[in-house]
Amino acid sequence: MKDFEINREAYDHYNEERLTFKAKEGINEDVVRAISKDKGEPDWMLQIRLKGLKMFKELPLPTWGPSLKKLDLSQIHFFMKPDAQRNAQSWDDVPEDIKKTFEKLGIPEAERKALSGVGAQYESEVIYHKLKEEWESKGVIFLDCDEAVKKHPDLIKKYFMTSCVPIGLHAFTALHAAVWSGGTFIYVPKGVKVTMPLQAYFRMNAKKGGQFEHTLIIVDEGAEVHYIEGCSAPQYTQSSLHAGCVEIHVLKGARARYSSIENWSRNTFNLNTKRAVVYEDGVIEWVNGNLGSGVTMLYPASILIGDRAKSDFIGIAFAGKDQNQDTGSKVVHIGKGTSSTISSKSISKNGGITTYRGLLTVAKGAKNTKSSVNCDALMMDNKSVSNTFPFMDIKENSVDIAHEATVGKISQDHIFYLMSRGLDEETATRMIVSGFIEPIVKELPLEYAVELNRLIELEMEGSLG
Amino acid sequence: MEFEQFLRNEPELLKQYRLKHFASMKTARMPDTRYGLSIRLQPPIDFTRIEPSEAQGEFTASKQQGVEVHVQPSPDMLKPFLDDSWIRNPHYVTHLNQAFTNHTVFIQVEGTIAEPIVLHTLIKGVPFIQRICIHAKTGSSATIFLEKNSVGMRSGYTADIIQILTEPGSTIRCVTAQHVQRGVAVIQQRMSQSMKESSVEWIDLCLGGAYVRSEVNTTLLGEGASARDTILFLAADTQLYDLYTESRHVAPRTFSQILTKGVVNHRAKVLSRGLIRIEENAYGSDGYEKQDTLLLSDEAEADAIPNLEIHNHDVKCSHGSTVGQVDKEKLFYLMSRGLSRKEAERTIVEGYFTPVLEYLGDARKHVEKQLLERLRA
Repeated sequence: MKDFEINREAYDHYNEERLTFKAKEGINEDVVRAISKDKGEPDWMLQIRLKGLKMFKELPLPTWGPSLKKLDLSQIHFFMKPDAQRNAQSWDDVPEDIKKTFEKLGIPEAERKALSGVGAQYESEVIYHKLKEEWESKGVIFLDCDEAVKKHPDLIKKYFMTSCVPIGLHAFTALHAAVWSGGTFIYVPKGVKVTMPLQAYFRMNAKKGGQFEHTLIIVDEGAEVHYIEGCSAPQYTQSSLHAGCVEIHVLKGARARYSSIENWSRNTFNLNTKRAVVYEDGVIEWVNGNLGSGVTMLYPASILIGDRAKSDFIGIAFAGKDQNQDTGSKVVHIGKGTSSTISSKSISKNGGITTYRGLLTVAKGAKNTKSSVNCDALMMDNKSVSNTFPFMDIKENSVDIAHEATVGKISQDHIFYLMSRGLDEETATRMIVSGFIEPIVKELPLEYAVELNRLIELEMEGSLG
Repeated sequence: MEFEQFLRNEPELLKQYRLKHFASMKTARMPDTRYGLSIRLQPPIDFTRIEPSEAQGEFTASKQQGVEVHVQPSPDMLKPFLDDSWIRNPHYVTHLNQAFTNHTVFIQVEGTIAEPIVLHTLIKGVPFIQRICIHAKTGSSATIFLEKNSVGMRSGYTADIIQILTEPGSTIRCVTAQHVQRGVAVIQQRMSQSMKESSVEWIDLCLGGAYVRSEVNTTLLGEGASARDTILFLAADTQLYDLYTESRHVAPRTFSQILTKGVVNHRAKVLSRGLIRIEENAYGSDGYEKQDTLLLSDEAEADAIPNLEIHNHDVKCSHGSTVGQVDKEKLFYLMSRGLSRKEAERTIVEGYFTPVLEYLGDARKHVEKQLLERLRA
């Protein structure tokens, strides 16, 4: 198993803060205006931010999930700008210590493998962005979101926190609207098929750093794209917050796949909002991995508006000591003949809590809807907790809905069998866990699959204590 | 009626018990009517307007050797059933039912009772709030049929609290069938506590009423105890059913199974909620939860929330739920054989229940008869 050894430091590593602009802790109108001014934004974006701030003050924090008591919003920096030059064009322009961090996360390798483009978010802004020329020539736009506000105001005005994730969806989307910074903007024109995945790597560094990146993906009619996002944050002692927002518009006949592996440090609150609106014959595919954070509340949602729209979700959550992974998926069936599948796996260990919380809604008129939900949970020891809370709300009769869930431990029979073949107990356990997560891993590009496997193995180390 | 006057003839123990719950009503929350983001089921009744009153109705019970039935039980008989450990997640109506109970039955079972014990309640006035306490002595076994009807009721409120205590090695199968007239709001609170190697089987037929809120709480206290809950429902017109079942595994090697199955027609709405909770110490336990709903009309609505809370890894626990419609091909096949659409649909619905009926042992005939009567009505 030598090949799979992993240096834990790579994920808990942090560099000295090098910031040129750091907003005061807490949030108020001055902070919001300062962010907007620093970015040199047009007035209409400032108005969106102020509207978000106003709504944030009115909306209650959710009380139905994990406790958010330890989250002190007055202690969080809502904006930081790293010292690096924005959107460095070549690798040499990136400062040395920042480069070191990325190297540990494997970004140069990713590029060597000729992936279509790399955007790396250090602190709150994208500092490295490159898109292969062939896609640019076909009109694919792959920018950081701040820049997109200036270069493509029409698209941003039309799609930014409007029909997909409205500003006032809940308290954290309102907060996000007020202080968002960085993130990715992708526009794929009609009929263009991006065959190689586009990817960006996010990383949160400065102490108490808030990360409010906005990802806006528009896949125009008949187009196709696969976007990959990976996150890893170093270890710190004070709680920090991640409240990003992902909006995906899948227009008629288009297809989008969104993969993300999130591995924020254990003291992070990961309260991300991800949503896709899918029009006629469109397809959205979510691949979602949650390994890090102290508390995660993340439920990627698909709104199937058009007839025959389709959503596939596969997710994996891993909760170790002091972790609470509250994840799942939401699907709203509105169009006729829409279909969805949800497959969720979780592993809890060493006192960790995993919760599947899902919502399936079939609206009136969504005839011939098909949906199947599958949740499997693996519990490694007696201190851990596994919950399953699926909600199904069906307002139409011509439907075919099935839900299944299982919770259990690793079968002793399986362990015994593998050991009888000459494996030691730890290797046998590891193999079974690898098999358990296999359906998710195989949906990922190779380097991510390797990384996920490594991360899981790292987490599983010594689990036979 | 004033509460003081209602309590005038009560023995001291029961009086104190009722007063305690009466006091709790002031601070208790109302029962939940919203679940998750979009699931809502609003009871068509204002619970705060229910007042204590004398029971009006008839109660009959079959007489058998080994079975004691008391309609005016002594405080000593009821004492084990008045413990706070029975009350799980109380709300306003839980306390109300405890305080305003106006008909109490105590049943004690000893030895093996071959023939089913049949109890029948006919409600003639509301509110009718019944408490039935069943105490199964060590090693005993019995099947109990509880039937509930009403006459002359166009609205109002009725409730029943059924408590089963199974001592080590005993077995109770409790079949409840509720045919209360449309218009009446029904609250059903069923609780069981099972000691070592004992088993409880709840079979509930939910057929009548305008609104039914059913809460079944089974607690497996002794090692090797088991519980099976089967809830069958037929909802039509504008009936609203809110069905909740909870199995709590406290002791090791306990087994529970929840089956909720039914048909929703017209503009009826059914919400089935379930929870299997495995406590830290309940290693080697096995829990299964299944909810199936068949929708017969465009206006019908079915919501399902099957939850699991697992605090021990050495368990087997799973759940499944399905919502579907009548298979068009089956319908076509039956109609090609000369059945009318209505007959064909009924045949399919009858077939839908068959797999569950096969589980029910000596209660099968009884359940089947009531189900078919209602289906053909």
